[in-house]
Amino acid sequence: MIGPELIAFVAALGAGAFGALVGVGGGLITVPLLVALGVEVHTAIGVSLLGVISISTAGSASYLMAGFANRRIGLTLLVATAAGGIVGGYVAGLLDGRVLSGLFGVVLVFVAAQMLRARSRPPAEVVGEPAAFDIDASYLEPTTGETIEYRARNVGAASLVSIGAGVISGLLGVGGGIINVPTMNVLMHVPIRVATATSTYMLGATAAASAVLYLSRGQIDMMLAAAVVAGMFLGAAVGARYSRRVPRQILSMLFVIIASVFAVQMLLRYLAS
Amino acid sequence: MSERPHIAWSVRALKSGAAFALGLFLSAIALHLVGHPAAEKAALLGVLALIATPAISLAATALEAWARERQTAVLALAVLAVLSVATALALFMSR
Repeated sequence: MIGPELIAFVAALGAGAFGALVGVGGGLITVPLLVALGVEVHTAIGVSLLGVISISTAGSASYLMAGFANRRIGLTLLVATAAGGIVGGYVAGLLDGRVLSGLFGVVLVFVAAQMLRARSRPPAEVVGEPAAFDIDASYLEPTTGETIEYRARNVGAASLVSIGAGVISGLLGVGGGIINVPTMNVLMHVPIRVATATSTYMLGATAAASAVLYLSRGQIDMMLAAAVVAGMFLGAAVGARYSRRVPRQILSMLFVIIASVFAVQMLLRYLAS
Repeated sequence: MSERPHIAWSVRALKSGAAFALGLFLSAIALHLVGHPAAEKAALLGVLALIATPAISLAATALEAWARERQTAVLALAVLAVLSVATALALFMSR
């Protein structure tokens, strides 16, 4: 493994660790990193989707066991998100690499801006009978030992928004959490811890829906995939271990700086050609 | 408020799938390092295993939730149906 695969492995290790520390999917970092290493944009996206599946698979197992991921909310939104993933994966095959680079740059700017003004909404009180599609649930908050009850509302509207999350995931090889988490937290009134865990649970199937399309178009380099997935998987495990020890604010600022650099790189790639 | 859902099979499917795929990827890297021609095949198997893992976990969810959480089971089957469409489209495109 001399050359691009080794560099990709080390880069994915860092991307996976940093992604887990900051709380974003590795795809936001992996795709521009691979592109910077000279990998074709479609291939970078296809390989990144596999990394997203691996992080989701590993993360959602522990989130399900801890009771943070709400399977019913996740599956409800997943029907829409996975359908969006097919659309995104299909459309990506029709678009030129430089257009995808430009779109990626725009999404990175959006995520960096969102990170700067990140505020989480507290869960709404559970009062009265739930409406037809509302979902009542609870989880044990580990920091206080308190059982938090919540009611997920606006399921129909959130499903519509989730289609967009799937399209972006399939189109750009990112997790879709950048849309799913605020949708669940702000629109559905789901606590931020549950929203993040449920989003992680959803990412795997969403990415799988589009990854098969990249695979069928021959846009997945097998050895690169092996290096990147192994790197992201191991990196995310290390990052998750230390995520509570590193100051969140410093990491967020660091992410904003890195995302801005990558955004400029991707937008320049679009403008240059 | 709500009964704790049955998740054992779903979790086991996720863990086994991830471990199996990671094992194949690490084997592929090791084979690539020694210049063995099977490296690419091991990596391809890893890719297929990884892509199949969410679907297998969904099938496990549908099975274990069927008796007590019928709505969850039906939703898992609906997501599986969407993934089947993706696979059918991929097979059609590769012809």
